[in-house]
Parts: sequence; structure tokens; C-alpha cells
Amino acid sequence: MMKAEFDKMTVRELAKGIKSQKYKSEEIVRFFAEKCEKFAKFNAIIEVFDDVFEKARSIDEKIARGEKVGKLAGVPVAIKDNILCKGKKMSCASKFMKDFVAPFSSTIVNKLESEDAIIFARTNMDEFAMGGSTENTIYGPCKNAFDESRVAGGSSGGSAVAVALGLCPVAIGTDTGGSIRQPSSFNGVVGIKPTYGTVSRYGIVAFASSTDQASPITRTIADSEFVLSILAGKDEHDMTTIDSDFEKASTKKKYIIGLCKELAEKIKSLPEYPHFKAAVEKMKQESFDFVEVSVPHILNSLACYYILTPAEAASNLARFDGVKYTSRSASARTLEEVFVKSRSEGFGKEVQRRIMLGNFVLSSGYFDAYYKKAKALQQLLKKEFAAAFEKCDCILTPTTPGEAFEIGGKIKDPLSMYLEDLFTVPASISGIPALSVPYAKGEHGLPLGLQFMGSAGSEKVLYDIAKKFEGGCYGI
Amino acid sequence: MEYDVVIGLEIHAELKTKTKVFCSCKNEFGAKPNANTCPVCTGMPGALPIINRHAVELCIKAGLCFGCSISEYAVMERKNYFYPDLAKAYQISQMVHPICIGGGIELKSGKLMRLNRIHLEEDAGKLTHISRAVGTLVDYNRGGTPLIEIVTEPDFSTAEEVDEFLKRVRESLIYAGIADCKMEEGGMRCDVNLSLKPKGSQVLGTRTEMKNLNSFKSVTRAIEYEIKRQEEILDEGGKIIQETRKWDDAKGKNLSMRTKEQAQDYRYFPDPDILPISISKSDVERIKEEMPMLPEDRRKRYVEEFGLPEYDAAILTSSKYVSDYFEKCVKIFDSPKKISNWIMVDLLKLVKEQEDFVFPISEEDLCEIIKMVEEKIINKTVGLQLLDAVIKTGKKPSVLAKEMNLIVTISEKQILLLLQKLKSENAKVSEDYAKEPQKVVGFIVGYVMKNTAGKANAELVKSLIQKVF
Amino acid sequence: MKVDLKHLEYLSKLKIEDGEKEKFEADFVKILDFVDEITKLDLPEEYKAKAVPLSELRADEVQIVEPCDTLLNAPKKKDGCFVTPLVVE
Repeated sequence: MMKAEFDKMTVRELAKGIKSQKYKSEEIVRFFAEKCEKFAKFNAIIEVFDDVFEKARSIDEKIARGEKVGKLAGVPVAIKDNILCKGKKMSCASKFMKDFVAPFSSTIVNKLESEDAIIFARTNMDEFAMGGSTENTIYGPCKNAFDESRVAGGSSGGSAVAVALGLCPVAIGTDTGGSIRQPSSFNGVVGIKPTYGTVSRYGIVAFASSTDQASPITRTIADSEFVLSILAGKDEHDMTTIDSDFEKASTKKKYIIGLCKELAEKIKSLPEYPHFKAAVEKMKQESFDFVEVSVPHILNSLACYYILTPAEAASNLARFDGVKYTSRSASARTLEEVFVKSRSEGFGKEVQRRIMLGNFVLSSGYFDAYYKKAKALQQLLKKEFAAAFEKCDCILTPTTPGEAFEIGGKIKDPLSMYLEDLFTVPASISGIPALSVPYAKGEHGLPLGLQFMGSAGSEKVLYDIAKKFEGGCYGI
Repeated sequence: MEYDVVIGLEIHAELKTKTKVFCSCKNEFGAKPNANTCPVCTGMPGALPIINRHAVELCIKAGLCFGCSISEYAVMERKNYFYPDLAKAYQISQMVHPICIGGGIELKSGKLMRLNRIHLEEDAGKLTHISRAVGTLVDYNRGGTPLIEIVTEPDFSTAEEVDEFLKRVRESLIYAGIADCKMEEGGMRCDVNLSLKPKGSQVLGTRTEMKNLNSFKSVTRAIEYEIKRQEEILDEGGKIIQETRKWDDAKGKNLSMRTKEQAQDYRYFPDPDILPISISKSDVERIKEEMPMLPEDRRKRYVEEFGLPEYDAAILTSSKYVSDYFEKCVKIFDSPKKISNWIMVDLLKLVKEQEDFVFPISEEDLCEIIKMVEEKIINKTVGLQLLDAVIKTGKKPSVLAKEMNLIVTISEKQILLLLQKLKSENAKVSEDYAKEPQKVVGFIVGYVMKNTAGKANAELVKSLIQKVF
Repeated sequence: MKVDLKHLEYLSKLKIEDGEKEKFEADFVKILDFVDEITKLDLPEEYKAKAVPLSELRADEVQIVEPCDTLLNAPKKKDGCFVTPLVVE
């Protein structure tokens, strides 16, 4: 096989090839590193780590010696710039953390490394994972893999574009309100937000603790499933993790797909509606059954999300104070100045906005009306979704309201950016899994994603449905 | 004008756990700066708290000591404020769902001092203020160590009541193994909320909060000072400012801690990293079983069950060590009043003025001596000589008694001779013994004692009677 | 909707530059107006999240998995401590 085709191969093909000594991990890593350099103008990759060749060589040697190696032996995996890998820089794409070196590794990095993966590069993102375009970053806006004038989506834009361009076979992103699914949709790749608690958050810089989840962005559904099964599992360093069963395949023969009544009008009004409708028709022919379900408060999810997540973020980001590990304002003379100047100079505009928003909804006099209400709504939404999933195996929506928008198009108007999260936020708020797979191209020829939401723990079902559908409608 | 004094307390005690409350770092005092720190207790990005079960259990134990009801559902919350000793810029504490609710302590006067709650929280790090040039040093060794906060209702009206209450709290926490309460190490801290109102008035006055009270004495002094200070202001028609005041023990006065321009707003909300904790009835039962009897209950038992005077009971329960020692002795030799006398009169004077003392004689050896005295093998004066000797040499009392010739032992042979003499001289004794032995045993023992000046061993005599008669 | 920007800056330890205040406040109010729909919903007061039984919490055992240099990224350090400007209490 020509070496130029490593970027066309799946994660499992690469792993198999390396293990069988058909290819060397080192040549694969070199191939991707060179490609990263060639595609630098997309601003998807912040840095390829400098020890990757050495690591790849040692895996190759291990295999040559006939030693047992892990499931991802020699496969390069890129990680979003908010995931800690001991000894490597990690900045959350923020000026405030520009020089930070991770003093410990995240659980997911440990899991990847224990399967002998090569932690390959860190990917661009919106600062502290706040944003939907990967424009809020000190490394320059990340460009869409299909159109350089358009956004990558975000906040895991770098991870999605890297995979779409074939700069790495898999990249880990994080999703708080759609930050994996939306850029995956914009760049024609597969992204999943697993059930809350599936993947440990230990060693991932927190944005909103109660909705943050990390997971892989891949080119195929099977790769997504394969890598997620490696990342998943209960972790003694994260109390909110759960046991999840990725070994057992779904045995269902026929699936019932739900269409949410409350979203019907919104979806009909989208420019991409004809594509969505065509997908539904196609699925009906594929012998999926369809049923209308109701999640009465689903349209309130967005408001709920923009109360709860800023509240948690305001508290989570208070630790960045110029004392322990961020940069400190050069002009700070007093303790108060260390706090205020360092934070005002260090954090970007959007991050500051969310911190202030969070402190507003938590502050005395507003707490009951906003935060407590949002928390109650979150509980209600969980119940409403649970009831809807009594009637169907998954709920189908577009992942995003449309194709990737133009760079600079929404960055000036934060609310218009927030509205991008309309379809992704409900699953985040409710802690349920949601999978985005590419299914069509929009009016500008850019990819569109279809979102499958399922009940808590139903990842296997979602993968199975999506595979059946992908096989019928859209191949990569 | 005359005033009613209204005082409420917030007492912090460091829990006796091996590890911190949200990470597995050592919970110890006096390590090198930041030696006992990890990503969690330094609030590193990406680090997450993992709650320590034992810390929760000790908090429940504290609740059981003071009659609190234990919540079935407890939630850790974040208290948000910036300060360099607070690594995450929030303290994990409890607000809406604390572990223990209510409870109280009855003072000697019979007055009940109610508790509002006892909750679990983390301690902050230590700041050392060096100089303007160097700055302030931050050490997070203490950061994340577990504390309980005992919050009382404003039921106190005098410094004496506060003093008695604090001593009872400290005693119970130490007794139950919850906390060491070493005040000099900051192991127990007390904040005092105090206000005055015109005598008989129902309306509460403005209160101040006093901090930095590092000993029982300073609590009393600070309360007395603050009452006087507020009285003087009110008498002159002035107003009390709601503020935090720092007690300066050396100067014997308190000073306002720079009032913040902005009102504090801690923005409490449930910590999303820590799941709520469910505490079952069986959890509480299990913890109850692990609890030692508390001083108050022990006092009652000593009076009611052992028949000791209140005075004895109070002294014996003044420390857990002494009451454990006493109870072990009673198990060995069931004569509580005698043991109490020995401990109170003869042992405690040996350890006078010492703090963490240990009696210089084991419970077994002490009981052996008491037994010898009680059985009149030796008299009390000789018993005290023996006690002294046991302490000095560490040898067993029985061994020493022989070595020192404290007991003039009448040999078995001598007793046998005496018994045989009696048998041959007094036929009626043999006849009576054959019919109803228990009626004449006393007489025979008495006979032997009379002829040995009471130095024969009564048990030995009894066993030999069986042989001879 | 009126916002006490000064108080929010105080709580957040942030300072919005004077030239940006107006735009910031306008955007902020727009977002608040959007999320305001939630205040009008009729929802149950109490919510109880899923709890973990006491018995499943971490045992009290010292565990140093991997030594970690917690001062690695300190902007200023001395004698094993983080350093701030002199704190006046």
C-alpha cells in the first residue's frame, strides 16, 4: 500500500497494520506530522508533540520483539487543548494559560497510553471550550475543512477539522453543549456526546462540570465506537463516572425512531429541511418505524443551558487567579490587582462574558429565579426525555440549524452564536447520549450532520441505528 | 441601661482522618510547605474532589454526640470567594443539606444550648505574611483537610455558659475520637457572634462576629471585652456596626477587620463534581455502635450502676483515659468504690499537672494490690509501699510482696497441723462438719486465724478443711 | 433588565474596559432577556439529584499514585510556597 493512504484508513485498520508489522508506527506518525505541517494554515493543530517519533519507534520495537501491545498500539491520537498530558503544554487556547505545562495526566490520556496509543498533537479550540466556531482562540481561527472562509465550528473545531483533513485518524474533543457534535457536523465527521459520566473528566479542564464529556471524533461510526469503548469506564478520580457496557451489541432487529413534536416547526423552517425530510423518507424505506414523541420543555433547554453552564463555569474558572499556574499581570502590585488584572488580561471576551453571566445567575437576589429554576427544569427535562424514550429508540434531529457559517459572521453577536446550539443542548442538559453523523451536503456544498439522541446508556443502540442508516444513505 | 447578651457560636474542629477530605494526601500537621499537596488540594485545572468516607462518618459521629438528627441526603456545596489560601477560589462546604441538623447540649444549670447544625467542610491553606518586599507565602498542606463546623443557636448569655459549652464539646469530640481539638495548633477554633438588646426586649440587636480566639481563656476574655465595648457604644447612643472583629490576645482587645466595601455574596450552589450522599439508617446504627460511651453517659452509669458519689464520677470521667482505666479495673476486680478511691487518691496525685499522662501501673497490677488489701493479706500502708515498689521496679505485686517479705505466709503444713489439732481435740466439730459443713467452716477458719494472728490465707484454709475433715 | 455591572465585576474579579462597557452591557442584557423565559415557567421547587450511598465513598487511606510538582507552573514561588504580594489583613 502507498504510504499516502494512511489518511484514508480507519483507526482499526491502522492499529491492525501496525500490530501485524505491515506498517511501522513511526512511518505513520511521520506521515501525519508532515501532513499537519502542510495544512498548518487551517489552524487545526496547535502543536505536534516532539516525542512522537521516539514513542512510535519504541512501540515498533516492542512489536518487533513480539511483546504484547495495546489495542491502539502505535496509532496517533490528537487531543483537544484542554486535556492534560503530563509534561506537555496545555493552554485551553487562552493567553492566560499559554505557558502551562501539565503536571499530571488526565484519565483519558492514561487510558489511551495504556493501550499504547501515541498522544500525537493538541488541537485548536474556543478558549476554555466556550464558543461554537473556534474563533475565540489565541492560535487564530480554525478553518472549515471544506471551505477556508467558513468556521470549523466549536469548541472542538481543531479536533473535527484535523480528522476531516486527515491530519490524524482520531482526535479527542470535549462536548458541553454541542462542542463535539456541531464541529463534527460542519466538517463531515462522526462525533458523539456520550451519556454523562461515561468518560472520566479527571484531567480535563472543566467548563461546566455537570455537562462536560470527552469523546472521540472519527471518520467512521465503527471507529467512534471502538475508541469510545477505550475511553469509557468508572474512574476513582471522578465521582460522577458510571460503568458502561460497550461489549454487548444491540440485538434489536427493528428500531423505532422518534420525531420530536415540539421541534417540528423549527426543523421545517430550516434551509436544510429538504435533506432532513429525505433522510427520514429513506429511513422509512429502510424499514425503520417512525413515531411522534413529545418533550414538552425541549425548547427551553437553551435558556436552561445558558444559565447552568455559565454558573458552573464562573466557579470552575475562579481558580485561574494569577497565583498558582496562570500568568500574572506584570503590572499587578497588590493582591487585588493580581486577581483582577491577571484575569482581565488573561481571559478573552467570551470567557469573561460567561463568568459574569454565571455570577449574575448565582448572585443573591437572582439565584432562585435563575439558577434554581434552571436546575428544576433540568430535572424535568430528564423525566420528559425518559418518557419519550418509552416510545422510541432514538430521537432524530439535524445536528445544527445549518451549514458552517462564515468566519467573523456571528462572533460579534454572542446570542446568535448561542442559538447555534439549539439541537445539541437538550442532550447535554439531560445527560443523554447523542451521536452526530454526516448525512448530506447543504446549499453551499458543506456537510450536514444528523443527530441521534438516545436514552442514558444507549450508545450501542445509537451506533447500531446510525450504522444501518449510514450504510443506506451516506458513505464516507 | 441594662442589656441582655445574645451569643451564638461557630466552632470549627479538625477531623482525625488519615487523609484529606477530597484527596488522598496525608492529613498531618507540621510537614514541609506544600509537601502534602496534589492536583486536587491545590485546585489544579482538571482535578476533581473525591470525598473521604471517614470524614463523613466522623461528622455523623459528632452529630450523634450532641443529639442531632442525621440527614438521609447530604449535599456538598461551593462557597465562592477569592482568597489566596483557597486554592479553587471556592470552599467546599454545606449549606442547604448539612449532614447533621439540630441537637444540643444541656449545661449543668439545666439550660439547653441548641445546635443549629453540624456540617462538613474543607480547611484553607496557610498564609505567612513576610514583608512588602517578599510578599505572602502560600502553603496548601492544610488546604483540603477536613473540618466540621458546629453552629449553635444564639442561646448563650454569658461567657461562663460559653466556656462550659466549649469544654463539653471539646471533651466529647476527643472522647469519641472525632478530633484532637488541639487549640494551639488551630485544631479547634471558635467564632463568637454577639449582640446586645435592651433587657427584656424581643428585638435582636446588631451583632458582631469575633475571630482568632485560640484558647478557652481568650474566648472568655473576648466575650467580656465585647460586651463592655458594645455596652459603652449603646449607652452613648451609638450604633453597633455589623462587622468581623479580630481578637488580639496580647493587647486584650479586638479590632475591626477592614470592612469590605462590597457585601459578601458567597453564591453557594451544589458542587457538581460531588454526588449527594445518601446516609441510611443502618449506616447511622453502625456508626453508633462504634461510639464509646460519652462522658455524660459514663458519669450517669458510675453513679447509678456503680453507686459512686457524683464527685468521684466527675473526676473519673474527666478524661477518656482515666475512665477507660477505671472501667478496665472494675472488670478485673468488681469493687468500683475501692478502685475509685485508689485512682483518685493515690494514682492521680502521681500524674498531677501532666497533660497527656499515663498511669505508671497497669490495671492488672493495681487490682492485684487492691485485692491483697481487701482480703487483708496486707494492710493499706503496706499496699502503698507495694504500689511504690511496683512502679519503681515494674515487677508483679505478688512477686514483690514475697521478695520484700511484706506477707508473713503461714505455710500449708502449719495450717494442717492446726487443723489436725482441732480435729483431735474437738470431736463435735467433725460431727457437725459431716452433717452441715457450711455451718462450721466459719468457725474453723476463725480458729486458724486466731492461732496465726490472721496471717493465714483464708482460701487455703478452706481447701485444707475439706482434706482434713 | 438592569445589570449592576460593578457588582458583577467585583464578584468575578474582572474589569471590563471603559470603552467596552456599553457593548458588553448591551450583549449581556440581550442574553439575559433570552434566558428570562425560564423565570416564567411553573416548575417544582425541590430537586434532588441522584445520591451515592455512604458505603461507596473513598476509604480513608493515604495514596500517592504519582508524585506531582504542584508548584510547576507557579508564576512566583519561594521556599516551596506560592507567593503573592503582601496580604494586608
